Amino acid sequence: MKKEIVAGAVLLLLIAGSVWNICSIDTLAGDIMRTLELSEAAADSGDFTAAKSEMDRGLKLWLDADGYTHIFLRHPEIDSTTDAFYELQELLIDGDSEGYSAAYAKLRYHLDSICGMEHISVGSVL
Amino acid sequence: MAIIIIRTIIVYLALLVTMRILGKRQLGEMELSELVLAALIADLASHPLQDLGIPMINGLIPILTLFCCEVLITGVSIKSVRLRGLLFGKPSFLIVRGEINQYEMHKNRFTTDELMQELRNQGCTDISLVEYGILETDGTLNVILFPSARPVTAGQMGIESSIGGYPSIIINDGRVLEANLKHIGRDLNWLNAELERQGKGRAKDIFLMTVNQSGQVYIAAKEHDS
Repeated sequence: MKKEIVAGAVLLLLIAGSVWNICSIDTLAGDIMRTLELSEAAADSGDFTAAKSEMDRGLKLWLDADGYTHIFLRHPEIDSTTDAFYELQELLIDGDSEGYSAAYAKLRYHLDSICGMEHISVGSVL
Repeated sequence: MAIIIIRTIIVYLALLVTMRILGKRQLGEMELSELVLAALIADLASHPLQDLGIPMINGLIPILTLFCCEVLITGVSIKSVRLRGLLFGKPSFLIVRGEINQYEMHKNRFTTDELMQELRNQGCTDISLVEYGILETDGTLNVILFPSARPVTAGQMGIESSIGGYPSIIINDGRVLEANLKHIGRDLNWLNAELERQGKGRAKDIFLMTVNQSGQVYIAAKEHDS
């Protein structure tokens, strides 16, 4: 019976861990999304310096979470999100007023996709 | 992470049901859940090793989840006879008093060729001599012959036979296993005296020494290094 109790406890621990993981990725993505919103608003008003500064803050949040993301997320997803950050950074440095909206959308799509993969839904399970 | 746990449980249960429906002949001396576990774990463990883009945890979580499912399912099935029957099935009597039970054969997808092969494996070629042929839940066929066809035992012949008992290993490749020595109620003094009596030298020169419960000693000396 002891073995079964331990197995049940481990299973509950795994479920609790997965709930913590969903919360963590939501918090991380939420914080980054907020910096991106501020950054895009600054870019829309033509202030590319402020836009880059906010985006850099988002990039720092993303890179600082490297220890967590590399353990829990598929590495190709991490790489494409990081690439999307640097693409956006390049556009903001160049002050490219044409292409930055698409770069923000792409970055948001990657972050949404990472969150979506961790959330429990019929689509993600099946 | 949550998705991995849910997917693992779904696949585990799906395989368990599928294998259960396929019948015992698929099992091959493993219990149903053991086979499912063996089939899944080997594949799961290899993915993070082959693809470095998959985090190691994606391989470890399903294995841990499967381990928990297996322990819980086998634990519950020990407590509940009904659940055990439902999950692992019940032994099937393929032969009853020399007659083939065709319904059970069909139910277990067991062909006559396979039945004859299993009988031959057990040294039996005549079905009419078989009292019971039982397909166990792990897929093995146990054959019980009619009493008239069973080998005569020493007891039936009225012959006294000595009981050797289980042999304990006392020296393994020159190392004395003191726990085993204690288990058979002997000590190092007895061991040294026994080796001296048999002219085998010291314990480190012995490759294998066993003593059974009736005190019978077997000694194999080490071959000299070439």
